[in-house]
Amino acid sequence: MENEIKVLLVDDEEDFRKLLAYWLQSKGYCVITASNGEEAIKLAKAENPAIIFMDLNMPVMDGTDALKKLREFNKDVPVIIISAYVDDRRAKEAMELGISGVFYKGKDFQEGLSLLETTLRTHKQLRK
Amino acid sequence: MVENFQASNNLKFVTSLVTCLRLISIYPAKHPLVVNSLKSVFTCANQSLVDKQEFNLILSPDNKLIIDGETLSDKSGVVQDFVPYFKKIDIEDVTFSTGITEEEIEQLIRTLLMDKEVLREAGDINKLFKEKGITHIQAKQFSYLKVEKGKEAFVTEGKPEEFEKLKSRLKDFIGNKIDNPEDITKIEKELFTMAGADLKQTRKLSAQVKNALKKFIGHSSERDNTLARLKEALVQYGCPAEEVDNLVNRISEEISHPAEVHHRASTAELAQLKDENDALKAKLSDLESELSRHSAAVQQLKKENARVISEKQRIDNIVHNMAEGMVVVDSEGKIILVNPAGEALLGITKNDIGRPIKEVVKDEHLLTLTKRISTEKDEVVEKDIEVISADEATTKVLRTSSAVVEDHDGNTVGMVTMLNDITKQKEIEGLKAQFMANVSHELRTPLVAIEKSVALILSKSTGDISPTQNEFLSIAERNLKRLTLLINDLLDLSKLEARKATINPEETDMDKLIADSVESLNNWAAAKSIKLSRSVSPDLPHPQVDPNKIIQVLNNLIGNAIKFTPKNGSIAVEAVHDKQEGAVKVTVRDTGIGIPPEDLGKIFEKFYQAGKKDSEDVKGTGIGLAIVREIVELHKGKVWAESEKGMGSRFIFTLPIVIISSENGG
Repeated sequence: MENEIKVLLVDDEEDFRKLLAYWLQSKGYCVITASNGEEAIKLAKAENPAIIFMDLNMPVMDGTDALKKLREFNKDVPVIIISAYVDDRRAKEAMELGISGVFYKGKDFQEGLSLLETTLRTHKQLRK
Repeated sequence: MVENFQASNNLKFVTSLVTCLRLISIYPAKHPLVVNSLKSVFTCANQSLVDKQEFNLILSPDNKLIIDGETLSDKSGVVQDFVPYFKKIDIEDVTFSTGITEEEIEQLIRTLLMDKEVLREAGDINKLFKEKGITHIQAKQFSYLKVEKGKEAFVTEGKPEEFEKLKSRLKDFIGNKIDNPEDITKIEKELFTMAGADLKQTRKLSAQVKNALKKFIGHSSERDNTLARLKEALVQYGCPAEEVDNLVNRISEEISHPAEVHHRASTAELAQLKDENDALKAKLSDLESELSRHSAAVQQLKKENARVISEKQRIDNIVHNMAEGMVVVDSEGKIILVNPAGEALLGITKNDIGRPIKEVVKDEHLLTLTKRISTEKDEVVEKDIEVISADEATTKVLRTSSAVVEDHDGNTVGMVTMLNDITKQKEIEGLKAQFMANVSHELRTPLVAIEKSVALILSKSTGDISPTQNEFLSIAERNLKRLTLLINDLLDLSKLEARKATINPEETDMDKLIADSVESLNNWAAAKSIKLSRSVSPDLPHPQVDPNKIIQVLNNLIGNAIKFTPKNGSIAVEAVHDKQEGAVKVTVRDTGIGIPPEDLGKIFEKFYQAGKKDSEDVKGTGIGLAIVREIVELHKGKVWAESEKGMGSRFIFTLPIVIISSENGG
């Protein structure tokens, strides 16, 4: 069931987090949220999400570190980086840590949804 | 007038002679006045001849008349009236002898009245006198003493020392200190040789030589033999026999009657000396004027020199006190000049002048100072370089502008580089960029939240909304988009301007890039019924560019074109290989409203909006083209716009196929 698809959304900006979560839920996804890297690692372990949206610039533990930690125990789950900048150097650096794409905050949510769907589809095919 | 004078007979004689000359020139021959005046002259002459055989009338070199040794005073100006007649035919003196007749005097006067040319042609005046039956009057002319111009140089003058020696020996001889015949012969020989040379070269004897000859001959025991030998010697020397005869006779005469001829001789000598003097004076005045010309020239040069020196000092002072560092190297990279600011910036000293800059400056960045020496002429190369300061603790950023120095023939002789310490400026730029990034981020975060909220409501996923609510939320959304765009552009530009943005060049397929851009904007164009086409020449090389940046350029330019092209218009994007420039040339052509010529140069400036009029589309930020320019220039390309009224606009940019350097980053 598509409804079962669990998305982990990590961002320290509460307003944005709520908005994107609402949008994804309205599209039928199950969304769990975290406000920093540490929480995200815990949730990733506990909930085993199908895909993760991760901001980079966060307190406590930033996205890059969280991603590194995540890859220690889960090399499989696709990660989409959330960035405020179109030309973010850190997003590019994160590419090397195995991410599936970058979603820019300024873009339409529809784009984020397409990116999510494409990523999941490719991922599924790869696993087969 | 004669009776008015209470003067001597001599003066009377001259006065009457002058009167007679005047009267004869005016009246017929037998006119009583003429006859009377002739009688008067005749009487005076006879008066003077009462107690002697002859008397003579001499014209001295200083234009005085001397009769028998008595200089006539010239209170009435009579002498001055008479002088021209003598001068006319170069008469030095006239001798009147006993037996003179009135007729002879008349003939003399008539002769004196003759035309100068006729007289000159006649030659010897005495011959003429003879022809005219004048036998008791003898004249002596200067003619043979006359010096031709340019021949003033006397032989004795050329070797004064020799002559002085000879003179001293001559003195010894006269003082009877020399009695060896051989020595005497030697003196004689030298003296004669000198006289011969004098006579031959200048056709006269200098007074000194003549005097010496007179002394020698006068003292010699067999005077006639010596004179004969002199004659022989001079003739042998190649002097005309007639002249030699005259000369020797005169010398002989002057030696025999020293008292009698003393005056004549000295007068002749005076005349001769006067000529010499005149010649020397002329020469002297020539030399003086030449000297004054030279000294004027020297003064001029001195002034010029002083001016040049002060100018040089002025420029030296300017160079010395400039805040900017300045270093000049020659074509081999050796330091020619460096000012104190340059010394401080490069960490070198005056002692390093003359050494190759490569040896002196450790920092490898600075070596480019010499590398650029082969760059194109008339081009100023600007470059920012980082150097480690002398204490090795901090780094400095130097902005260098270098230009090739050429000589008159256009050969490269070196390079002048100006150095500016822009470390502070760079720091400020960095802070500014950081500040801009922070501000943009802080602005964008809430904006995104608002935008997304509005979008969510508008998407009706939160529930239904009324048409009015929809309308106002749409206005809010449109303006939020505009604000977001502005902030994004500002951030981009501030990064570009701070040179924070680095370009990551890679071989890029321009065809694909243009296709991507056109595709992403096609919907917008289609909404305005604008035909968006592209054409890329098939042989287009793949340039080394940053595709993420170039697509921004394309999006901006094509987006602009869509914005300013009315409905049903067309836009063409075209890329060709500009082989001459070694670049890819991209043109975005539209059928829009065009750009007024006065705006063409300004549209690439920040916040400049040429088409400020009412546009239906989302208004631009006025930054798009500034970003385009920054990006293109970062790629060492060029961008410009062309437009003709009503013909739309063309935006053109070039990208070098190979980027020369990306050292500006940082």
